[in-house]
Amino acid sequence: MIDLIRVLGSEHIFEIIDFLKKTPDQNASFIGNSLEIHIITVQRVLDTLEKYGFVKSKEKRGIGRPSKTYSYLGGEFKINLDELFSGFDLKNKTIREKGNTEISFSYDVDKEIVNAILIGGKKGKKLKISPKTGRFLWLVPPPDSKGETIESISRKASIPLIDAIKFFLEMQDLEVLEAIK
Amino acid sequence: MNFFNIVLGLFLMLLIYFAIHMLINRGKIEPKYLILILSYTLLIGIPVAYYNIFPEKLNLAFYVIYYVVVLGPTFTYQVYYGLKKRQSWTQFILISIGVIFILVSPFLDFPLRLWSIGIGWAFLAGFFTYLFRYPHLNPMWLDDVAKKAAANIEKDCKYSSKPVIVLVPSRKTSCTGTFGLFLLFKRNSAIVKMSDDFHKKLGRPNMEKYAEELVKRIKERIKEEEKGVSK
Repeated sequence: MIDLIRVLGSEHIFEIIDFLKKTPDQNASFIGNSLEIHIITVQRVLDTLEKYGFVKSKEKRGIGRPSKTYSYLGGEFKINLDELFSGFDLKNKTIREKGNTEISFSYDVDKEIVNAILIGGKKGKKLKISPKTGRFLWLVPPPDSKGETIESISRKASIPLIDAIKFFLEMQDLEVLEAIK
Repeated sequence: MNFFNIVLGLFLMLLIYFAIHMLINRGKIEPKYLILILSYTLLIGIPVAYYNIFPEKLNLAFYVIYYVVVLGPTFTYQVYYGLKKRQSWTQFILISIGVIFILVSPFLDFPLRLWSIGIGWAFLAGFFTYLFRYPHLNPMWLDDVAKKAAANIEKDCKYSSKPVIVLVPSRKTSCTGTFGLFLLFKRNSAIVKMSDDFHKKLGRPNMEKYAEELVKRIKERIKEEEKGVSK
């Protein structure tokens, strides 16, 4: 939910939605060029809106790579503050790596970041990680260690606490990280 | 001059080499390192010694290709580590200049040839002194310390392929390793990476405590050497 709130609070949201309402079935590149907004920003907004059902997408095949076109749907959403802030309690939780034998890491010792997680050995599934969360994961203490709080690691990694908590929850589900009881 | 002299020369060279290593290691040399260093020293030493004795038999193309093949991989990773700022250029410069001076010696006439060999050895002596001052750069010493560091650490713990970060600053950036262990000392922290096999061999120690103990032991030893130098 935090991703939607962020997108709705972003600088170009009104321009993008207004453009999409007036000219449906357009791809992110066209919208970006027309509004002079970077394509990555437009794509992030559209992906998030699609995730929550406010826009729909259609895959367009032609010459070259298939592209996605978007149309505005509209709708409403409710904010559950209890749910939104429930994870925030985790900020003082001490966390560490779980030491799952099925998990291995791809990292860069010079940049000090984890690039990807390999689930099920080297030939298994590769899960790419953004540089920011990769930095957070790099700083997480090893298995059987005394651990460190999410707040402390997020501060060292310079990432917003809420993103760190969200990332921790994802990694906990994948059994990469664990909270120490 | 005959083959006996060549063998004697190489034997003396190896003797000096191992004497320096024994000083660093306080006497301990493992067979795997002995074989490795012996083979590499002979690979490098035999052709240059042979052509120094029989310069008329020197085949330039063979000589150059041979040394590019034998020394290429070592030089490449040294340059790579230097460019990546994982280690200072000091040891690379010392060993490179030393080796180059010795390798060009067969092309020179007496007494220039002796000068070239002498200067080469002086640089190599500088390299060994550097190794003595920063013993963690010597894989044999590191291997020994790595095993000793695990002795009093709790065992049967879990393993992770992600390196362990020890927040200990270093004055110099340096990079070293031994079979299954990789260490990178940065200005703000030390990075300790170990393989699953290495972790298993040590009895699966607690990775955090082990990395802290290993870095502590290395730092203490470097401090001792630095104190010795300043005295």
